[in-house]
Formats: sequence, C-alpha cells, structure tokens
Amino acid sequence: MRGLTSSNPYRLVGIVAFIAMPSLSYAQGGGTQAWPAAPQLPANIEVVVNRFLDSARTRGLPTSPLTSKAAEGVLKGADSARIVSAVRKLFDELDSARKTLGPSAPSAELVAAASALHAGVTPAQLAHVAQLGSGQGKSERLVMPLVVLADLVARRVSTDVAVASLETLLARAAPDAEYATLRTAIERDIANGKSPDAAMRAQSAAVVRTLDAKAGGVRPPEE
Amino acid sequence: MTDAELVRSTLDGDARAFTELVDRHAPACLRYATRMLGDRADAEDAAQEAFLRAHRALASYDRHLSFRTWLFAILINRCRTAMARRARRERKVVTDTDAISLSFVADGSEALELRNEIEWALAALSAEQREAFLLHHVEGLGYDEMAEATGAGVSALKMRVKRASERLKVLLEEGAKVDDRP
Amino acid sequence: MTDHEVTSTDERLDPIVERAAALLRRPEPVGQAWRDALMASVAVPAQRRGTTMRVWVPLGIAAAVSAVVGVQRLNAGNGGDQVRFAVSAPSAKRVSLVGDFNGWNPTAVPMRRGSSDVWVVKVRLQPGRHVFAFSIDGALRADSAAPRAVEDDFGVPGSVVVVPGRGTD
Repeated sequence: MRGLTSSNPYRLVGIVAFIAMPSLSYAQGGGTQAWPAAPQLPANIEVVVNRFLDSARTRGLPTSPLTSKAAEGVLKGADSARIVSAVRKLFDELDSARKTLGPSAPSAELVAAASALHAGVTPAQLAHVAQLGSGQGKSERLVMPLVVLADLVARRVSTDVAVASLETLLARAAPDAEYATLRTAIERDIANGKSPDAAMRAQSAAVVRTLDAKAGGVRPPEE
Repeated sequence: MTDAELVRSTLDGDARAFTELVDRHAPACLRYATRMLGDRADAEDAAQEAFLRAHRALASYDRHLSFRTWLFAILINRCRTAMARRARRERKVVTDTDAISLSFVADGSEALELRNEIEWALAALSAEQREAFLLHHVEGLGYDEMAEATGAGVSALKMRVKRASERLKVLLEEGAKVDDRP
Repeated sequence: MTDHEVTSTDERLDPIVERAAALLRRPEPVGQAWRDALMASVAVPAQRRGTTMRVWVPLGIAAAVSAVVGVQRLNAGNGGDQVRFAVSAPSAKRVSLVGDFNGWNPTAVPMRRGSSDVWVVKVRLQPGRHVFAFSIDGALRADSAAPRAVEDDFGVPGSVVVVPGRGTD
C-alpha cells in the first residue's frame, strides 16, 4: 500500500499547536447562521495538557481521552483552570485504572474503568471486579460491566451493592447484552419509585436466575 | 524446526505449530508496531490483525522466502492502515516538529526517561523514514528484504534510512539541550 | 531465527543514534491477554471463520437502543461499528454530533434532517465507551434516550454509548 501519509501520525508531539480545523461552510441548505467554531485549545493550557500527554505515554495510558477531555471543556466554554482540573482528574483515573487492571489491559477497558472510578468506585473494588473478569480469554470483556457499574453508582446504587451484584454476573461470564438489559431494568425500577439498592438486588437476581436456568437447559421462570 | 517447517505443519493441521510461529515472531512484531505507531494498544491491534491475516493466507506463503519478511510485509501494511485510519479520525494538524519539548509532569517523582525522548524523536520523522529506520536498524532487515516487504526500491529505502538517521541525530542532540518549560 | 544483516561501515550510526537504536531494540512484552485472544481466534478452522478480522475485541450489544431518537448500532465491520444517532429537533437549522470520537468538534459530523424532523447521522466508532452530545444551533444537548455520562466536569451533561467489537457473545 503506497502513498504513506507524510503527516505525523502521533496525536501530539513535541511543540504542538492544537489547531482547529477551519470551520466548514454549511453546504447543505440555505441558512445564514454560521457553524460554531471547532474547539481550539488556548496556548497557555496546551502546554500543561502536553505534559499530561507525555506522562501518559510514559505510563502506557491512552492519550486520546485526555485530548478529548480538553476539547470538550473548550467546546463547553469552561475556563482554563477547570479544563486543566478535569484533565488532571481523568489522568489520575486512567493511571489508577492502569495500575489496577495491569499493563496489557486495552485502552477501552481503561477508559471504562476510569468512568467507574469517576463515579465513586474505589480502586480496591475495581481490582475485585477485574479479577473476576479476567482469565476468560476475551479481551475487553470488562468494558460493559464497568460502564454499567459507573452508571448505576451514579444513579445512587451503593457501590458495595453494585459491585457485589455485578460480580455475580461476571462469575457467570454473562454476555454484554445482559448488562445492558440489567441497567435498563434498574433505571425503570428507580423511575417507578423503587430504591436504587433494592432495584439493583432484585434485577441482578433475576438475571442470575435466567443465566442459571439457561445453563441448566431449563426455560427461565416468567417474571 | 524452521519457520517454513512450522508453516507446513500448521497447514497440515497442527495448531501448536502456529503457536510456535507466533511465539517466535510476536515480540519483534509488537516491538515494530509499537515503535511505529507510538501506541501500545494500536500496536497490539495491528499485530493481532497481521497474525490473523498471515494465518488465513498461510497457504500462499512461499517457503523459499523468509517467513519473517513475509509476515512483516503484512504487519507493515496493518500499521499503515492504522495510521491512515487514525489520521482520518483525529483530524488534527501537527505543527513543525524540528524542536522537541521535553516537558514532564513536575511532581518530582516523574523521571525523564531516555526512551521517551527517543519516541519523540521517532515521532518527528516522516512515516516513510520511521518505517525504514525501524526496519533496518531495529528489526535488522536487509535492504532487499525491506524492498520486498515495503514495495519501495532499495535506493529509496537507503535514502530514507540515511535521512532518518541524520534527522534523529539532530533531534536527539537538540532534545538534550532543551530546558523544562515553566 | 533469521540473521540480521551486518551494518556496512558507511552505514555506521552516530553514537547518539546508535544508543537510541539499541534502546529501541529492547523487546516489547507480549501480553498474555493478547496472546490468548489470538490463539482463541485462530483455533477456529478457517472455513468457519467469517470475513472479519477484529475478533479479539468481542463485546456485546450496544447499551442504548431507541426507536426514534437515540443510538442504534448497525452493521459491524473492521475496527468498530456503524452507529446511528438520531435526535428530534424540528425547528433547528444546524445539528451536529459531538463527542470524544471527533474532538468535540461541532463542524466535524453534521447531521442530516430526515423525515418527521428527526436529524440523523451514521458514524463508525471504535469499540469501547464513548461520550457524546448533540450540538443544536450551537447549544449542546444530551441524548434523552441514552444513559447519562457520569462525568460532570463542565456542568453540561453528555450521553454514553458503548460500541462492541467483533465476535460473538
């Protein structure tokens, strides 16, 4: 395959200007309203963000979540201090995730783990979950459980209850669809007035019954 | 067993033979991909895809050629695809990288690694130069093998390696001089 | 193993570069998970395997599915999935999709107004968790049908979509 691009493939290297792409004119339809400008990182915080990127590379952390976070802050009109604070927090979360999940955990798992830590899951709880999810030969199997864990904790399910429930699913190698179903069911229950912890316990017990029934070749009981 | 013999065994149905091939060549493949792409996760993806394609195409491997060269040709393509995909996805413009900023998180516990400097210098090369330099001076391929694996001519490759080496010298020397930024 | 070609004298590297090359020659560790995933996927006989290659990042079904608005996972392909985003914004003039996959750039992924005043776009996303929102005439709005992102760093909410990799589940 010839024609290698000669532009640098690294995301940010050396002295980097995070230059915004020029605003595209809106080709479709008339309309006099201009597109909002693409996020452009001010020079003063670009230098600081670069340091996090350097450090991230050294530690084997993905850099694109960090650059995304900065761009997100710019788009949302946050001031420099807040942007830097958000990037730093994410860096710490990714770093903690890397330490907990190990050197060969893929970026997608680190990102999911960082969201769980952000929601209030502790590194110890994360390690617990990771242990159960590993050794099953499939990479990235922790992404869905961790994302769901983060969401449920954000909805005020107690972390202990959430972790314990998810571990019962992990122990049964539940497919990702089950986590999605679980989350939807719990959100529905909470919307209907059930307490988050009660919803978590009831719905995960239901999933476990279904999985066990399938494993035993029996039709799951009607709910 | 030689690589060619392991390929033969794999085609005859011996799965452990392919395992042996992977174990022999995965370290170099991961090394090349990581240095080329600058990202361990992307490198693992590219190397994984390369081995899967190699496995699928094993029947077309000519045992008179070097297996490593054949495998590397596949890997080189996977890395190029990864870079093109990344370039489209990210839409970022990187400015001139003649100077390297050796900044690091100033928390006192972060030691500046020499390896990090080098990765920066590598990143400042053009993709063709980096590819050629890595293949020749890190993976130890000869120019004929490189020509086979990349599709480029020997003299073009020699020029790229030479330019890469010269540029790296300048970058690494400059890098050693730059102070930490406030 | 195969031999390395001896470097001829006119190719001798400057010491600083040679030192760099020596460090670069240090081996990269092969992760056990990586190795296991590769072996698992080549264990499947060739004639049973499909045309996909990315079997080593298997995930399940995308988290948020909604009939009219929200996110739908479409066909899977190499390196991620096509995901369909939709939002109802009848009086909007310009709608675009922003998220961590396009640098939160409101010019990068314009959405198209479909029928019933629903704006849609299809985007290929890499496997994993993504945060996104809609930019509707310059104002950001989360996807009401998708899970809310836990991050609240900037006071403006975002939504989450999880994209599976290839492979069965």
